[in-house]
Amino acid sequence: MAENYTSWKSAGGNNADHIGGNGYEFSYTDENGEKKSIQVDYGSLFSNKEETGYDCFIPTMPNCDDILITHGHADHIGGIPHLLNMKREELAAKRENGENLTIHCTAFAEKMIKNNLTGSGIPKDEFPEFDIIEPGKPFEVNGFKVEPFAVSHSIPDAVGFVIESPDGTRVMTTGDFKTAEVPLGKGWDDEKVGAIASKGIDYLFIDSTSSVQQGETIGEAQVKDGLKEILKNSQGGPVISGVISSSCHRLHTIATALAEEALEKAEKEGPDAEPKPRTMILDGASVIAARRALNACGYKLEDMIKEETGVDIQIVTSNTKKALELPPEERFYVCTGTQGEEASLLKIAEDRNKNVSLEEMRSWSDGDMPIYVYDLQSCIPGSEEKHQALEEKFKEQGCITYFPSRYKPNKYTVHASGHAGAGDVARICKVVSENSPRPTMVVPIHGDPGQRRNVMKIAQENGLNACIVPNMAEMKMPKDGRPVWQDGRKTEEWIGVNDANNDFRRPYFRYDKILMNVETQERKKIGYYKYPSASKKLAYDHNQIAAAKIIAKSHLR
Amino acid sequence: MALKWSDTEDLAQALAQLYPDVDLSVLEHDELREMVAGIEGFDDPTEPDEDDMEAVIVTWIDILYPEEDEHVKSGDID
Repeated sequence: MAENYTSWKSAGGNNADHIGGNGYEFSYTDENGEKKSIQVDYGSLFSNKEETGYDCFIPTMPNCDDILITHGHADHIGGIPHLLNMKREELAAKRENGENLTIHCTAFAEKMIKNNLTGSGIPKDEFPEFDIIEPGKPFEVNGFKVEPFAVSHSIPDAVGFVIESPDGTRVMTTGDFKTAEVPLGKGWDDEKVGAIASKGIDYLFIDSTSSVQQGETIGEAQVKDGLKEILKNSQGGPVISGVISSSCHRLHTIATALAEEALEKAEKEGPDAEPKPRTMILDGASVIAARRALNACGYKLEDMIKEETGVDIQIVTSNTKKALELPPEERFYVCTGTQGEEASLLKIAEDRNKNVSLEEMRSWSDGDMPIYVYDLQSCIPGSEEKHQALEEKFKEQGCITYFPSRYKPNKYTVHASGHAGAGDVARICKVVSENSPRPTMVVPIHGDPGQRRNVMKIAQENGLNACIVPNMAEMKMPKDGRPVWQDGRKTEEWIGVNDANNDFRRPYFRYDKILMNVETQERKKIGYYKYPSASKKLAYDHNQIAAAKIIAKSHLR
Repeated sequence: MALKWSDTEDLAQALAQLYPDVDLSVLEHDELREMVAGIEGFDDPTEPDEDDMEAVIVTWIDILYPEEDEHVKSGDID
């Protein structure tokens, strides 16, 4: 009889110089050598197609049909539509037997995943099963006991998991987290995390992304103050702002800043003055879809702001008559495309946005109306040229711009990271070490080597053991706290995703098996995954679309 | 051939032309049902579920606002 053991393997997420493609497999192997697994997250890794030839990379396919999702960001869910493509035949056969891939996630993550599946052309009858989970409500899957707990992140309803293996080994994995308060949903709670830890934590997997930043990461409250400063300094003209749409708390923060600034202004004007906040105008597919997801999960921003500030806020999309009829100085646009990609902001700057026109705004005055453009996200490495070009284009159009620097101190605080700074990492280490009756081994994840080393150092400073485990190494996790893994791996296996159509509206994905040299980052294609196309409607038959247009036009006539 | 709820892309294309100024961030499913029922050539007696309707709306949003995915590395999604 062989030895039984619990093990963990990172299929992505601990990358040499990139972060993303998160996928972590937890397994239990019994005395007979039979292995049961569950996967935490299946995300995509950003790729510059001009350099690599691929739209993104995803980890190798999970060895199980149960995926636990920590939150709805692309680097944690972006692989799911591709998995459904590659496993189309296998999953179709399973569905005939009443089985299916099951995604265990919160309601908000479910909305984000379904939007992602629809946008990627996955037909509804090929959707996985969804098991909606809630923090504090344990469930069992494939022999593992799982308890989700709320964490703070830049997207609502993010969770971490405590997973108990059949042999009793208990691991806590944080997902992406910080400890600051969040405006939407539940966030980090020392007491609740401490209570879970009091049942024993053998291994603790910690998000390392911002661990080299000093202190605890700031919350949305500071961003709100920065936005109010911006509003005070942007009188007499429209404000055009750029946001990362998946940072959904930011929509609440913007709405609150608009309400509070209007309230303060009214108070200065006199006792009878009514607050008149600018209207939030959404422009861009992902920001509109994000608001739908918020509404569907009960996060109705207008109601929340009314309750919190007493002020009525209006939020509309840019294609509505309401938006177009508003005087420009009452408009606050919330746009996509912070990095200068083909999205709302670039189209405005280049006079190609059919709903937001600088010329239309100027036509309300003698042409001297100031137009303020604020990118609420700093430049992301790799996007420098596009980001700078975007600002230049707005300047050429005579706009007053504010594009914060990533590397220098900025005038306004307009962004808060969703990841744990060194102070947050120290905090979770302290909470676990004070509450867990078992010795805990910390394993840094979701970071480059420097970030993970920093988490290891912080853990050790807080009295916990820690170790660095490379991507794709299987770590056996005995309860004596002495993990074992094989080191020295020279290559990593990834799946390269290439939209052969180069058309984000009608993608045709190809999947290559890629070997990546860990040291040099050189990639070598070693094969590909063949898969059948989806049913006819997903082939996007252009004749049928043309027919629908004719039908619609005849109806209009 | 009549249009059905499963013809997501076709329905979204038709709706985008018929109703170009609808606020899709708050469109209710009841309103969508009425709009779809008004599309010439639509004939589907089956009751759509939430996923059918959301798929139409999300596709409709993509048609009105075509854009690339956000060029954001995961660490910066923040």
